[in-house]
Amino acid sequence: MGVININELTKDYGNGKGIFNVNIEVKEGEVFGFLGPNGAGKTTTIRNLLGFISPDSGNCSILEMDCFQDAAKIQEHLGYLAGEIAFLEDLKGRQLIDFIAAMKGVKDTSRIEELIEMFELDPRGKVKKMSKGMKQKIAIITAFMTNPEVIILDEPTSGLDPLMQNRFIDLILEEKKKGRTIFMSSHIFEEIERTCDRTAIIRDGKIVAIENMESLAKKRSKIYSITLNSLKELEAIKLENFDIVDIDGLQVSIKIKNNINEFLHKITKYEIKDLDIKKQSLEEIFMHFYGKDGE
Amino acid sequence: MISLPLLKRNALQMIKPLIIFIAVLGMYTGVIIYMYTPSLMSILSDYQKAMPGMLQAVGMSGAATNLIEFLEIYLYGFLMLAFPLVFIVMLGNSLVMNYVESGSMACLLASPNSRLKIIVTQAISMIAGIIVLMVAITVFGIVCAQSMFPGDLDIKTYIVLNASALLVHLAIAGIVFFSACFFNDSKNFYSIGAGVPLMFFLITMLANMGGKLDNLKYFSLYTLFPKDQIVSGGSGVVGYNIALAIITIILFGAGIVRFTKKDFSL
Repeated sequence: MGVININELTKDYGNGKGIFNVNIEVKEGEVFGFLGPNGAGKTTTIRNLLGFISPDSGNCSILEMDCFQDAAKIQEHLGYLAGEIAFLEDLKGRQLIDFIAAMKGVKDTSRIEELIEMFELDPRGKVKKMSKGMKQKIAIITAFMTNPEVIILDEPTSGLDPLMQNRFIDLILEEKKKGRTIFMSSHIFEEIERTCDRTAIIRDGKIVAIENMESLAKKRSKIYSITLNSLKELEAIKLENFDIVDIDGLQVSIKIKNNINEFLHKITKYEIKDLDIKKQSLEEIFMHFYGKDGE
Repeated sequence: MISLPLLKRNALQMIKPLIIFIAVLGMYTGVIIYMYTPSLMSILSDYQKAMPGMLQAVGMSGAATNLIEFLEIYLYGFLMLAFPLVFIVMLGNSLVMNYVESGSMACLLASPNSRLKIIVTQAISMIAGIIVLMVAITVFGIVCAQSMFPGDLDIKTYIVLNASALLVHLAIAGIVFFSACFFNDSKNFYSIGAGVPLMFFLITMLANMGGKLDNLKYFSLYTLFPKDQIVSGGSGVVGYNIALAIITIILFGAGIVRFTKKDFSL
């Protein structure tokens, strides 16, 4: 029995929208990623986990409590960061944090101070006037302020600058060490790659794959873009046993999985003006999942 | 069964509108009491003759023989119904609807407080806000009357009149509260939560015109406000009040049940 269990969960909004027979089990201490294109059903799944909506069929539970019936009891152990943050706009940053802490019954504020320092938040201004990034920082603080056992995050770093995104990854790794169970949806591969143990991919409301991140990293290939000197060399390189994915003028893009050495030896024969290495993007890696049925 | 931090927040949020509405209604109450002098009263009855339909519609018809009748005619047909209605719709919006539509309800629900506890807190806050408004106006009215016309006001009847007005406002608040709980967007909330009470209000105005239109009164909740019976010492006041209390309980109860069961798009 996992910490988070989603069982044949279905919520049909009609017109093919919604989620259908979703099954996910997140084990204790696991960091679980949740990926999918916009409108695929990530937020619908998370709304079910939070008990904001009740399923049409199937069920989900956290710590063996039903997500809809026992939402308030689950909240004693849960930290949540919403995908679309809507705060009480009439308050100032600090008032908002204090209000949410009071609602959650937080007495010891040391963790709050720690998090404010970690994310360099200046909570003095009015929430209404704050930037997306500032609100995101407050949302992170409120999600982690209770030292929760289970944490659900919906696109946690949207709006954060790269420095803060890194801080956030550090925070997740720190929580992971403490043995927390984390479920997070994200678009940023680096975030998922550096933190998650497993990742589910959802498309059109259905889970199309659940991947172990270690094995996924092995499958991941890199694209070497070589700019050559002449058309003659271009013709020659075409005859090599390379997996050429794109040719643009004198620039050839070659996909390499593991045989880097062999590739490097071969290209020394050519006059190379420029060499660029691109990691495959998240979308590209998951493209074959997205393409599985239909498309 | 209530959340104290939320209750505190509601109180702080309500202070400003409460002060404004108490000030406005207090001012009207003071002005109308001040006008309880033979010379000004004759001006008012001249108005009634000059614009019979208009003043009839807002309940300002008939001659007053004492202060309480005077207040009933000039305050409780229109002003004491209309202003609290605006206040009640505002409360319904700020205590429930706004949280749901903006999505900030997630801030309240993502805490170890059940939906029941959250919504009961909001219902109690709303009811308390209306009670504070009506009690403040009642006290203010008594103080004004006693200082301007000592002994002229039948205080007991005045309190009963305001208590009944409070009950009718609570029943109206039930409609507003229920629709705030029922809908997920403010457009529908306003069309039902504000639209239905407003319709009752207009129906009552038409019914006041008398004649055949009088029958319209059976289609308005405001008809259950037995102001004429209270002032004239007629019977049936308790029955009306019990009916209003029952309507209030049913509407608030239905709103609470709906809130605990519905799907949010947070």
